[in-house]
Amino acid sequence: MVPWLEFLSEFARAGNLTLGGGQPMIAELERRVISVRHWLPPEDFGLLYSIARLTPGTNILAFVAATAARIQGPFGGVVAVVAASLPAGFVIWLMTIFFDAWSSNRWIAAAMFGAMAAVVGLILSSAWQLLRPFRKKPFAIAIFVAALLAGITNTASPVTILLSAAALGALFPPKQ
Amino acid sequence: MNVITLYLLLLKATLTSFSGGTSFPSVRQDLVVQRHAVTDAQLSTAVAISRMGPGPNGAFVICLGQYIAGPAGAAAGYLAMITPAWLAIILLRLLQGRTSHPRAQSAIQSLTAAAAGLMLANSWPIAQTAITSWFPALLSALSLAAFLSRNVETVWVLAASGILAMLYSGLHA
Repeated sequence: MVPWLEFLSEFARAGNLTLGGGQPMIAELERRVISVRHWLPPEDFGLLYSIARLTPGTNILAFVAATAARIQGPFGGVVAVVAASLPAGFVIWLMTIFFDAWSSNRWIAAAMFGAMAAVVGLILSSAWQLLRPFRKKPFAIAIFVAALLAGITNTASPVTILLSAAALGALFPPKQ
Repeated sequence: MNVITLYLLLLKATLTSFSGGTSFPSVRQDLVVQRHAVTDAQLSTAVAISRMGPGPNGAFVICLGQYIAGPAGAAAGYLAMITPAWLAIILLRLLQGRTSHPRAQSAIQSLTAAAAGLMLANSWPIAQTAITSWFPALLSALSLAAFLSRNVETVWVLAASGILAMLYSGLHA
Protein backbone atom coordinates (compact mmCIF):
# COMPACT_ATOMS: atom_id res chain seq x y z
CA MET A 1 0.00 0.00 0.00
CA VAL A 2 1.16 3.51 -0.85
CA PRO A 3 0.81 6.23 1.85
CA TRP A 4 -2.67 7.74 1.34
CA LEU A 5 -1.56 11.38 1.48
CA GLU A 6 1.09 10.92 -1.22
CA PHE A 7 -1.30 8.76 -3.24
CA LEU A 8 -4.14 11.32 -3.21
CA SER A 9 -1.84 14.31 -3.75
CA GLU A 10 -0.50 12.80 -7.00
CA PHE A 11 -4.00 12.35 -8.42
CA ALA A 12 -5.19 15.73 -7.11
CA ARG A 13 -2.22 17.47 -8.69
CA ALA A 14 -2.57 15.82 -12.11
CA GLY A 15 -6.34 16.22 -12.21
CA ASN A 16 -6.63 19.79 -11.00
CA LEU A 17 -3.45 21.58 -12.01
CA THR A 18 -2.95 20.31 -15.56
CA LEU A 19 -4.52 22.43 -18.29
CA GLY A 20 -5.40 21.20 -21.76
CA GLY A 21 -7.80 18.31 -21.17
CA GLY A 22 -7.42 14.55 -20.92
CA GLN A 23 -4.28 13.69 -22.87
CA PRO A 24 -1.90 16.04 -20.99
CA MET A 25 -3.34 14.78 -17.69
CA ILE A 26 -2.89 11.14 -18.67
CA ALA A 27 0.69 11.92 -19.76
CA GLU A 28 1.37 13.68 -16.44
CA LEU A 29 -0.10 10.82 -14.39
CA GLU A 30 1.87 8.25 -16.37
CA ARG A 31 5.07 10.23 -15.72
CA ARG A 32 4.45 10.64 -12.01
CA VAL A 33 2.92 7.27 -11.10
CA ILE A 34 4.95 4.98 -13.37
CA SER A 35 8.18 6.78 -14.29
CA VAL A 36 8.84 8.82 -11.13
CA ARG A 37 7.13 6.98 -8.24
CA HIS A 38 7.33 3.44 -9.72
CA TRP A 39 4.01 2.56 -8.12
CA LEU A 40 3.14 0.51 -11.22
CA PRO A 41 5.23 -1.29 -13.88
CA PRO A 42 5.36 0.44 -17.33
CA GLU A 43 3.60 -2.51 -18.99
CA ASP A 44 0.43 -1.70 -16.99
CA PHE A 45 -0.01 1.55 -18.91
CA GLY A 46 -1.46 -0.11 -22.03
CA LEU A 47 -4.06 -1.97 -19.99
CA LEU A 48 -5.05 1.12 -17.99
CA TYR A 49 -5.21 3.30 -21.11
CA SER A 50 -7.40 0.75 -22.91
CA ILE A 51 -9.73 0.54 -19.92
CA ALA A 52 -9.97 4.34 -19.87
CA ARG A 53 -10.92 4.30 -23.57
CA LEU A 54 -13.49 1.54 -23.02
CA THR A 55 -15.13 3.24 -20.04
CA PRO A 56 -17.95 5.66 -20.90
CA GLY A 57 -17.57 9.27 -19.85
CA THR A 58 -14.47 11.34 -19.30
CA ASN A 59 -11.37 9.33 -20.26
CA ILE A 60 -9.06 11.00 -17.77
CA LEU A 61 -11.34 10.25 -14.80
CA ALA A 62 -11.66 6.64 -15.94
CA PHE A 63 -7.87 6.48 -16.24
CA VAL A 64 -7.58 7.90 -12.71
CA ALA A 65 -10.08 5.34 -11.36
CA ALA A 66 -8.39 2.37 -13.03
CA THR A 67 -4.84 3.48 -12.18
CA ALA A 68 -5.69 4.28 -8.57
CA ALA A 69 -7.61 1.01 -8.14
CA ARG A 70 -4.61 -0.88 -9.52
CA ILE A 71 -2.34 0.80 -6.95
CA GLN A 72 -4.56 1.06 -3.89
CA GLY A 73 -7.58 -1.20 -4.50
CA PRO A 74 -11.21 -0.30 -5.39
CA PHE A 75 -11.64 2.22 -2.57
CA GLY A 76 -8.52 4.01 -3.74
CA GLY A 77 -10.07 4.23 -7.21
CA VAL A 78 -13.28 5.77 -5.86
CA VAL A 79 -11.50 8.35 -3.69
CA ALA A 80 -8.88 9.26 -6.31
CA VAL A 81 -11.61 10.24 -8.82
CA VAL A 82 -12.98 12.74 -6.30
CA ALA A 83 -9.50 14.03 -5.45
CA ALA A 84 -8.70 14.47 -9.16
CA SER A 85 -11.91 16.31 -10.01
CA LEU A 86 -13.58 18.06 -7.04
CA PRO A 87 -11.27 21.13 -6.70
CA ALA A 88 -11.33 21.75 -10.48
CA GLY A 89 -15.09 21.23 -10.51
CA PHE A 90 -15.44 23.82 -7.75
CA VAL A 91 -13.35 26.33 -9.75
CA ILE A 92 -15.49 25.70 -12.85
CA TRP A 93 -18.63 26.28 -10.75
CA LEU A 94 -17.25 29.59 -9.41
CA MET A 95 -16.30 30.67 -12.95
CA THR A 96 -19.86 29.91 -14.13
CA ILE A 97 -21.36 32.02 -11.34
CA PHE A 98 -18.93 34.86 -12.09
CA PHE A 99 -19.64 34.90 -15.84
CA ASP A 100 -23.39 34.60 -15.20
CA ALA A 101 -23.38 37.52 -12.74
CA TRP A 102 -21.30 39.71 -15.05
CA SER A 103 -22.89 38.67 -18.34
CA SER A 104 -24.63 42.07 -18.70
CA ASN A 105 -21.28 43.87 -18.38
CA ARG A 106 -20.28 45.07 -21.84
CA TRP A 107 -16.65 43.93 -21.59
CA ILE A 108 -17.41 40.53 -20.10
CA ALA A 109 -20.15 39.98 -22.71
CA ALA A 110 -17.69 40.88 -25.49
CA ALA A 111 -15.06 38.51 -24.05
CA MET A 112 -17.56 35.64 -23.83
CA PHE A 113 -18.74 36.40 -27.37
CA GLY A 114 -15.13 36.06 -28.56
CA ALA A 115 -14.64 32.87 -26.57
CA MET A 116 -17.85 31.43 -28.08
CA ALA A 117 -16.49 32.09 -31.57
CA ALA A 118 -13.32 30.23 -30.58
CA VAL A 119 -15.45 27.33 -29.28
CA VAL A 120 -16.73 26.77 -32.84
CA GLY A 121 -13.10 26.34 -33.94
CA LEU A 122 -12.50 24.10 -30.93
CA ILE A 123 -15.42 21.79 -31.76
CA LEU A 124 -14.36 21.53 -35.42
CA SER A 125 -10.77 20.75 -34.47
CA SER A 126 -11.91 18.19 -31.84
CA ALA A 127 -14.01 16.41 -34.47
CA TRP A 128 -10.98 16.32 -36.79
CA GLN A 129 -8.63 15.09 -34.04
CA LEU A 130 -11.08 12.27 -33.24
CA LEU A 131 -11.38 11.25 -36.88
CA ARG A 132 -7.75 11.74 -37.90
CA PRO A 133 -6.37 8.32 -36.77
CA PHE A 134 -9.10 6.57 -38.79
CA ARG A 135 -9.11 8.78 -41.89
CA LYS A 136 -7.68 6.00 -44.08
CA LYS A 137 -10.09 3.37 -42.79
CA PRO A 138 -13.15 3.19 -45.09
CA PHE A 139 -15.36 1.53 -42.47
CA ALA A 140 -14.69 4.27 -39.90
CA ILE A 141 -15.22 6.97 -42.55
CA ALA A 142 -18.56 5.36 -43.49
CA ILE A 143 -19.60 5.40 -39.83
CA PHE A 144 -18.49 9.04 -39.57
CA VAL A 145 -20.51 10.10 -42.64
CA ALA A 146 -23.57 8.13 -41.50
CA ALA A 147 -23.41 9.72 -38.03
CA LEU A 148 -22.91 13.19 -39.56
CA LEU A 149 -25.94 12.78 -41.85
CA ALA A 150 -28.07 11.28 -39.07
CA GLY A 151 -27.05 14.15 -36.77
CA ILE A 152 -27.80 16.85 -39.35
CA THR A 153 -31.15 15.38 -40.34
CA ASN A 154 -32.11 14.41 -36.77
CA THR A 155 -33.11 10.91 -37.93
CA ALA A 156 -31.99 9.34 -34.66
CA SER A 157 -30.92 10.48 -31.19
CA PRO A 158 -27.18 10.82 -30.48
CA VAL A 159 -27.38 7.87 -28.06
CA THR A 160 -28.96 5.64 -30.70
CA ILE A 161 -26.35 6.72 -33.26
CA LEU A 162 -23.43 6.05 -30.88
CA LEU A 163 -24.75 2.67 -29.70
CA SER A 164 -25.47 1.64 -33.32
CA ALA A 165 -21.93 2.60 -34.28
CA ALA A 166 -20.46 0.55 -31.42
CA ALA A 167 -22.62 -2.45 -32.35
CA LEU A 168 -21.60 -2.22 -36.02
CA GLY A 169 -17.95 -1.95 -35.01
CA ALA A 170 -18.19 -5.02 -32.77
CA LEU A 171 -20.07 -6.99 -35.43
CA PHE A 172 -17.67 -6.16 -38.26
CA PRO A 173 -14.13 -6.00 -36.87
CA PRO A 174 -11.40 -5.39 -39.46
CA LYS A 175 -9.79 -8.52 -40.86
CA GLN A 176 -6.37 -9.22 -39.32
CA MET B 1 -36.23 21.01 -13.76
CA ASN B 2 -35.99 18.42 -11.01
CA VAL B 3 -32.36 17.86 -9.93
CA ILE B 4 -32.71 14.07 -10.14
CA THR B 5 -34.04 14.35 -13.69
CA LEU B 6 -31.20 16.70 -14.54
CA TYR B 7 -28.66 14.25 -13.08
CA LEU B 8 -30.16 11.36 -15.05
CA LEU B 9 -30.20 13.34 -18.31
CA LEU B 10 -26.58 14.43 -17.85
CA LEU B 11 -25.62 10.90 -16.77
CA LYS B 12 -27.24 9.53 -19.92
CA ALA B 13 -25.05 11.90 -21.93
CA THR B 14 -21.83 11.06 -20.06
CA LEU B 15 -22.57 7.30 -20.06
CA THR B 16 -22.96 7.29 -23.84
CA SER B 17 -19.82 9.31 -24.58
CA PHE B 18 -16.25 8.12 -24.76
CA SER B 19 -14.41 11.34 -24.01
CA GLY B 20 -15.55 14.43 -22.11
CA GLY B 21 -16.41 16.57 -25.13
CA THR B 22 -18.38 13.90 -26.96
CA SER B 23 -21.26 14.03 -24.46
CA PHE B 24 -22.06 17.37 -26.08
CA PRO B 25 -24.47 16.12 -28.86
CA SER B 26 -26.60 14.19 -26.38
CA VAL B 27 -26.65 17.11 -23.92
CA ARG B 28 -27.71 19.49 -26.70
CA GLN B 29 -30.45 17.13 -27.89
CA ASP B 30 -31.95 16.72 -24.40
CA LEU B 31 -31.44 20.14 -22.83
CA VAL B 32 -31.50 22.56 -25.78
CA VAL B 33 -33.65 20.94 -28.49
CA GLN B 34 -36.17 18.92 -26.48
CA ARG B 35 -36.53 20.61 -23.09
CA HIS B 36 -35.38 24.17 -23.86
CA ALA B 37 -33.68 24.20 -20.45
CA VAL B 38 -30.66 26.10 -21.83
CA THR B 39 -29.90 27.94 -25.06
CA ASP B 40 -27.18 27.21 -27.62
CA ALA B 41 -25.45 30.37 -26.38
CA GLN B 42 -25.40 29.03 -22.80
CA LEU B 43 -24.12 25.67 -24.07
CA SER B 44 -21.27 27.41 -25.93
CA THR B 45 -20.49 29.53 -22.87
CA ALA B 46 -20.42 26.37 -20.71
CA VAL B 47 -17.95 24.72 -23.10
CA ALA B 48 -15.81 27.87 -23.14
CA ILE B 49 -15.76 28.12 -19.32
CA SER B 50 -14.88 24.45 -18.88
CA ARG B 51 -12.03 24.77 -21.40
CA MET B 52 -10.66 27.89 -19.71
CA GLY B 53 -10.62 26.31 -16.27
CA PRO B 54 -8.66 23.38 -14.85
CA GLY B 55 -9.84 19.79 -14.93
CA PRO B 56 -11.35 17.54 -17.58
CA ASN B 57 -13.05 18.88 -20.71
CA GLY B 58 -16.32 17.20 -19.77
CA ALA B 59 -16.73 19.67 -16.89
CA PHE B 60 -19.12 21.76 -19.00
CA VAL B 61 -21.95 19.68 -17.49
CA ILE B 62 -21.22 21.44 -14.15
CA CYS B 63 -21.85 24.84 -15.81
CA LEU B 64 -25.04 23.56 -17.42
CA GLY B 65 -26.23 22.21 -14.08
CA GLN B 66 -25.64 25.65 -12.53
CA TYR B 67 -27.57 27.38 -15.35
CA ILE B 68 -30.54 25.03 -14.99
CA ALA B 69 -30.86 24.42 -11.25
CA GLY B 70 -28.29 26.54 -9.39
CA PRO B 71 -25.76 24.97 -6.97
CA ALA B 72 -27.76 21.73 -6.64
CA GLY B 73 -27.74 21.48 -10.43
CA ALA B 74 -23.98 22.08 -10.52
CA ALA B 75 -23.57 19.25 -7.98
CA ALA B 76 -25.78 17.03 -10.18
CA GLY B 77 -23.57 17.92 -13.16
CA TYR B 78 -20.41 17.09 -11.19
CA LEU B 79 -21.82 13.72 -10.10
CA ALA B 80 -22.92 12.95 -13.67
CA MET B 81 -19.38 13.72 -14.81
CA ILE B 82 -17.62 11.44 -12.30
CA THR B 83 -20.11 8.55 -11.98
CA PRO B 84 -19.11 6.71 -15.20
CA ALA B 85 -15.42 6.82 -14.19
CA TRP B 86 -16.09 4.37 -11.36
CA LEU B 87 -17.11 1.78 -13.96
CA ALA B 88 -13.40 1.63 -14.84
CA ILE B 89 -12.77 -0.08 -11.48
CA ILE B 90 -15.21 -2.84 -12.43
CA LEU B 91 -13.79 -2.99 -15.97
CA LEU B 92 -10.29 -3.37 -14.55
CA ARG B 93 -11.42 -6.62 -12.93
CA LEU B 94 -13.46 -7.86 -15.88
CA LEU B 95 -11.35 -6.92 -18.88
CA GLN B 96 -7.78 -7.66 -17.89
CA GLY B 97 -6.19 -9.20 -20.97
CA ARG B 98 -9.25 -8.71 -23.16
CA THR B 99 -9.05 -5.05 -24.23
CA SER B 100 -6.94 -5.91 -27.26
CA HIS B 101 -9.72 -8.08 -28.70
CA PRO B 102 -10.38 -6.98 -32.31
CA ARG B 103 -14.13 -6.59 -31.68
CA ALA B 104 -13.52 -4.30 -28.67
CA GLN B 105 -11.01 -2.22 -30.64
CA SER B 106 -13.36 -2.01 -33.63
CA ALA B 107 -16.28 -0.93 -31.41
CA ILE B 108 -14.14 1.86 -29.91
CA GLN B 109 -13.02 2.99 -33.37
CA SER B 110 -16.59 3.10 -34.66
CA LEU B 111 -17.77 4.99 -31.58
CA THR B 112 -15.02 7.55 -32.02
CA ALA B 113 -15.82 8.04 -35.71
CA ALA B 114 -19.53 8.43 -34.94
CA ALA B 115 -18.73 10.90 -32.15
CA ALA B 116 -16.71 12.97 -34.64
CA GLY B 117 -19.65 13.00 -37.05
CA LEU B 118 -22.09 14.02 -34.33
CA MET B 119 -19.79 16.78 -33.09
CA LEU B 120 -19.56 18.19 -36.59
CA ALA B 121 -23.35 17.98 -37.04
CA ASN B 122 -23.90 19.80 -33.75
CA SER B 123 -21.36 22.53 -34.43
CA TRP B 124 -23.70 24.12 -37.00
CA PRO B 125 -26.38 25.48 -34.57
CA ILE B 126 -23.61 26.69 -32.26
CA ALA B 127 -21.91 28.45 -35.18
CA GLN B 128 -25.20 30.12 -36.11
CA THR B 129 -25.38 31.59 -32.59
CA ALA B 130 -21.73 32.58 -32.31
CA ILE B 131 -20.88 33.71 -35.85
CA THR B 132 -23.05 36.72 -36.57
CA SER B 133 -20.63 38.81 -38.66
CA TRP B 134 -17.22 38.66 -40.34
CA PHE B 135 -15.32 39.33 -37.09
CA PRO B 136 -16.47 36.26 -35.07
CA ALA B 137 -16.07 34.24 -38.30
CA LEU B 138 -12.45 35.38 -38.43
CA LEU B 139 -11.99 34.51 -34.73
CA SER B 140 -13.43 31.02 -35.36
CA ALA B 141 -11.13 30.46 -38.35
CA LEU B 142 -8.04 31.67 -36.45
CA SER B 143 -8.99 29.51 -33.45
CA LEU B 144 -9.48 26.46 -35.66
CA ALA B 145 -6.03 27.02 -37.19
CA ALA B 146 -4.51 27.41 -33.71
CA PHE B 147 -6.20 24.28 -32.35
CA LEU B 148 -5.16 22.24 -35.37
CA SER B 149 -1.55 23.29 -34.87
CA ARG B 150 -1.74 21.42 -31.51
CA ASN B 151 1.07 23.51 -30.10
CA VAL B 152 -1.10 25.91 -28.13
CA GLU B 153 -3.04 25.52 -24.91
CA THR B 154 -6.82 25.74 -25.33
CA VAL B 155 -7.07 28.30 -22.54
CA TRP B 156 -4.76 30.75 -24.36
CA VAL B 157 -6.73 30.53 -27.61
CA LEU B 158 -10.03 31.17 -25.80
CA ALA B 159 -8.50 34.02 -23.80
CA ALA B 160 -6.94 35.60 -26.92
CA SER B 161 -10.24 35.36 -28.77
CA GLY B 162 -12.03 36.96 -25.80
CA ILE B 163 -9.49 39.81 -25.60
CA LEU B 164 -9.69 40.47 -29.36
CA ALA B 165 -13.49 40.59 -29.10
CA MET B 166 -13.21 43.08 -26.21
CA LEU B 167 -10.86 45.29 -28.26
CA TYR B 168 -13.19 45.07 -31.26
CA SER B 169 -16.15 45.99 -29.04
CA GLY B 170 -14.18 48.93 -27.62
CA LEU B 171 -13.31 50.22 -31.11
CA HIS B 172 -16.92 50.05 -32.22
CA ALA B 173 -18.48 51.59 -29.12
